[in-house]
Amino acid sequence: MVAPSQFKQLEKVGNGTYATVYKGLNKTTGVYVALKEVKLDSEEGTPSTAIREISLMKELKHDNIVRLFDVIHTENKLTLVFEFMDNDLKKFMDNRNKGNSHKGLEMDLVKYFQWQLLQGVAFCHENRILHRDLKPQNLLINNRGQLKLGDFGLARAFGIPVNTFSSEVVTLWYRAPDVLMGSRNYCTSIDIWSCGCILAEMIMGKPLFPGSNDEEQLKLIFDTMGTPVEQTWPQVTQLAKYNPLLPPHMPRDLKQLLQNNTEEVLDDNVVDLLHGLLQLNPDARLSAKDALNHPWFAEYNHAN
Amino acid sequence: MQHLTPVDKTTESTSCLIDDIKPHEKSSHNAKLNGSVATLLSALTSNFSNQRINNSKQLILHFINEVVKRSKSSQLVVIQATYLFHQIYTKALKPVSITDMPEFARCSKRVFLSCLILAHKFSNDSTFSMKTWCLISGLKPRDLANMERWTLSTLDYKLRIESSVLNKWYNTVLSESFVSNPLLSSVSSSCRKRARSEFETEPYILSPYKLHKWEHSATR
Repeated sequence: MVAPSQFKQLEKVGNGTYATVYKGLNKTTGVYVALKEVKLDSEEGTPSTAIREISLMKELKHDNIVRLFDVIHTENKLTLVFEFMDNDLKKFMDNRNKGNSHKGLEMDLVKYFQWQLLQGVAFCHENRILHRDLKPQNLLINNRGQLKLGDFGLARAFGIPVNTFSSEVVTLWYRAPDVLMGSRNYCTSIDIWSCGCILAEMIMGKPLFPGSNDEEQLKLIFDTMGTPVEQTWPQVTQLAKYNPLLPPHMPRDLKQLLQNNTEEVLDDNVVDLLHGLLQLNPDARLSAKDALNHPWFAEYNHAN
Repeated sequence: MQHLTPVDKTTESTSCLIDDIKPHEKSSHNAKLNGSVATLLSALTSNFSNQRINNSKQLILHFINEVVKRSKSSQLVVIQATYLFHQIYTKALKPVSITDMPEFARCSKRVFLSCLILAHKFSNDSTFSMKTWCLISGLKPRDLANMERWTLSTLDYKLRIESSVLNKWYNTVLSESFVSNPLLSSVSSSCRKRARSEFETEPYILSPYKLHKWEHSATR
């Protein structure tokens, strides 16, 4: 345990759901850190989000996952000391979208970020941890172009069976259709759907399915990906919130949709990968490991 | 306990661990598990008893029966909590001398309760507020919060227990208490064996189908 006085608190860099994040300086080492501060009510105990985040992140040491260096826990304040990251993917993309124009990222950069995202997710899944809140705001990037998964407040271990999985996970725009329809049996595929949404968003410079409520979210997904039926997704009609009155849609041409929103020339490989990540049926979605072996990443795979 | 306000509406009291035990057997199994937990807790902390703190098995057992019942904690959460407790008294505390530890840390019941709260918070998506734990245990929220903080830092926040590790520990440490406990010697060995093998045969990674099966059996 380190002393709080070891860190000099600098400017505020963000507000999380249950915490405030400051930039900090480790006075002993001269290294910048991110200080995530959680105010504690002396009678409420430690929030379970913080308990999960600390215990899970302590184990996850990987280049594409933000490192948790230390924890400072007093009666009134809990401070998590993280590796400092300059930016997050949402701000990074917003800075390129001046005014109303949407501009995606260059394909080389999209590929590099997506590769790192999938590496981080694969490592979580190997360690039997679901992130459950992947979105651009939670993907931190630094000036060297490294991308790392952050904010494990909703994460959980899945090695041990528990019967209280919540369907209130993942920010709406990145939430998988099976979860939206009330499935609580989700596993790693929940994170893979989010990875697909993020890939499309990096290409287009705007979110793929920006719904404002559960119903609209599903409508947007089915408009583009097609309305699921028993033939394409066995058991779909058994889900708690399955709506039999949904208008049937054929899947739209994803390549055309993306191409209309980017100046880059898209190759078929990236569209194929996106299809693999955005399978409506969770059992049909690629695993993170499979996605990393996709031909779109051939240049990285040959390098290794 | 009419004031109890469970946040967690799922039927968690039904067993997660042994899913084919018939309802009428369930309470007896809970009694067996709680009995072996109490035996272990008492053995680990009997040296810490003093005039104010009594770590005798009977008192611990009564306490465990009550908090487990009131919190409707699953057997898995009880086993996880016991594992954390065992870690504290066999590994985490060793470098600390007895004089350095807060007085509540001498008390099996309080430390077990903290472990139960943490295992519950770690494993369940919806969990209780401290106020509910205060109704469950009769302790003040502020004391509970302090105990929780001490327990977290003593464990170095390592709450994640690999299921392979938990399985092995259950078989070598906890289920031994079934045998060594004279009060429970009447328990049929076939039942014990079944409890053990059920736990052993669960695969470490659960496929979505498996998760579904767990859920299904748990809500039966």
